[in-house]
Amino acid sequence: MPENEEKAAEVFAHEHEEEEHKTPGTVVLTLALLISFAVYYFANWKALADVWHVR
Amino acid sequence: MANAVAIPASHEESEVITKPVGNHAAGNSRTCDTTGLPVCLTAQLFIRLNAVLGVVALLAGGIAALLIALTRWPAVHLLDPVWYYRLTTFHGLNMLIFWILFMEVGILYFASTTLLNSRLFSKGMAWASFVMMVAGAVLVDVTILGGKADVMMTSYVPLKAHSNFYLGIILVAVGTLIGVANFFGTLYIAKRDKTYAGSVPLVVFGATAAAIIAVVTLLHGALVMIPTWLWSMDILKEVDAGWYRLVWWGLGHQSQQVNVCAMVSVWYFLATLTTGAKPLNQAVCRGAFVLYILFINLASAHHLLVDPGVGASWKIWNTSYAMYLAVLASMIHGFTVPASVETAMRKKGHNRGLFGWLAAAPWKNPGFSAFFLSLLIFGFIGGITGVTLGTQQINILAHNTLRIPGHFHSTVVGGTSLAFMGLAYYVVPLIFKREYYARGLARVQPYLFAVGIVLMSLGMSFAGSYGVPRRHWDIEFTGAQFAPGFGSGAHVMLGLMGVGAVIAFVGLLTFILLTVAAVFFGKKIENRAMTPW
Amino acid sequence: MAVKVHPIQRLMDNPWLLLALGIIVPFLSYTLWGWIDMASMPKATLP
Repeated sequence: MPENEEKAAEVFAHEHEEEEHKTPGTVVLTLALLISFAVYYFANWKALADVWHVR
Repeated sequence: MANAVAIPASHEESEVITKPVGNHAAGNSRTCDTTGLPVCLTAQLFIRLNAVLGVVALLAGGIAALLIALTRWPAVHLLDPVWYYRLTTFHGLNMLIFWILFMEVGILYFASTTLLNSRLFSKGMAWASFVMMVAGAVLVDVTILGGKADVMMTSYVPLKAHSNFYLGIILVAVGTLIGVANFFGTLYIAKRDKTYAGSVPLVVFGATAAAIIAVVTLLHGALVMIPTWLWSMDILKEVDAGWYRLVWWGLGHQSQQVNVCAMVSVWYFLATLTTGAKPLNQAVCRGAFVLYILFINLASAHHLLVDPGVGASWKIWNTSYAMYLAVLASMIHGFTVPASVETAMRKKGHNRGLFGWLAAAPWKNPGFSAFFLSLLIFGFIGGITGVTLGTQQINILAHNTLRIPGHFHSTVVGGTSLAFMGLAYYVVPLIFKREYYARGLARVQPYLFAVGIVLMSLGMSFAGSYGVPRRHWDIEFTGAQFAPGFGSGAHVMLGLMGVGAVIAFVGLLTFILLTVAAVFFGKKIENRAMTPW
Repeated sequence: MAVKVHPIQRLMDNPWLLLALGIIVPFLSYTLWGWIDMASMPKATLP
């Protein structure tokens, strides 16, 4: 841990004090995850439909 | 949380506190110079013992992993069939059960003592747990390597191993259960002795969730292994194959949910240690852990999606409706963990654009890189494949193919093992009080391991998409009348798997050598903070 | 005067209740229901 930072004990002692936060980068990361999931999930249903013909 | 006061003493443990603090006896605790956290010396001993045995199991399982991967790579096809199945059994148990459980018991002792400023509930229980786990693990390994348990990790009946194999697993399970009980005992005395105020820290809450899931897991283990052990000694006439599969997966998959829960707790912990992050929203993060406690164990049902003995309602409820509540929990953690890092980094002034905070993150710190790579691999590969494969209809495409090991190597290895490696880069300096050598190599190690595991996992997954089965010694069916029909695409993917496995093994060996060198020969850390990564 | 604590907060601060729920829910949904399904499976008729 860099020397100018709070010690972990202090962070744990105050972890219940919640602050205002803006996290646009994480929102984009999680959207990328959701889109990846949607593509993979769709591709699998498509693959299933290709081999399992409903007559 | 009450803060302990360090009083310097002329003792071997330089920061030992010589008067009773909290519920610690005099001389049985110290204050960590790096984190400022109190450390119970009894817990420290058992964290060290469990971590060392965990790494021994990791080395044993890792060597087997390389040999198996080089057999599944058709261009190499190294082992004969007997040793392939023997070492696959050995690999599964050492990696999925022994390495993980030893580390988890260590994590439980750490979370309940250090983070709650409490002593460990019982030294006797800790010894009993450790001795039983070691005895059980040795018994299992010796039985497998002696050629008396070539039954794979799942040991599906009516495959029968030597009774010592089942006895060993029972010993490990009971030993772990004692360790978990010691954790709950410590929670009890910490609350009784008021060693902390208010709610427990989030990492302890996550560890509690892991411990609860472990109890369910180990009860299923006892429920299935005791009759099977009796059956292996011909005391019981038979064990129903369908019943065995149902209850065994209550052990086999649920133990992996303990990993998930412990890994997420380690993410929160490493986020704090490496970037000073703190949880964004306690209610949301804890709510997600409660969803794990209630629903994640139902996921075991996807192993039985092609079993005839259980009905469609049971399958769909357990793998879809209820299971998605646990997936929701993972998605919450997948958001809140990086978001807490983003908040901490932005607070330090890294505000440029969308990802300035991520670019400025401490990527040279192996504790951070291991944790963040673990998060990415677990989410993007493990999570996405897991939810897809767990869907009843899609499962029929993938069941018993290499897609399944492709999925779980990205969760348990790329996720949990990598996160635990990141933890080790702090456990060794803070608990063993030794510095790592070759710090440049340590900085590279998480990347090496992550790249290897990603290649291996994708290779397995795509080979599985071509229909390559899992647990199969020779997909070429050498000498058979008919060609198996796996084209060049499948072979390229198996090659990718092989190359990835070699890289991952080099990463694993680097980790073990660095850690062993540090633990036994590293420069001692006395009266000072660890050298920052 | 005692501070009123939200019931969900009380649940989260009670590891014993969480332990009980964590055992009961998966046991009922996965294990017991699975056993019932298996036990109610009719025997296969031989040709």
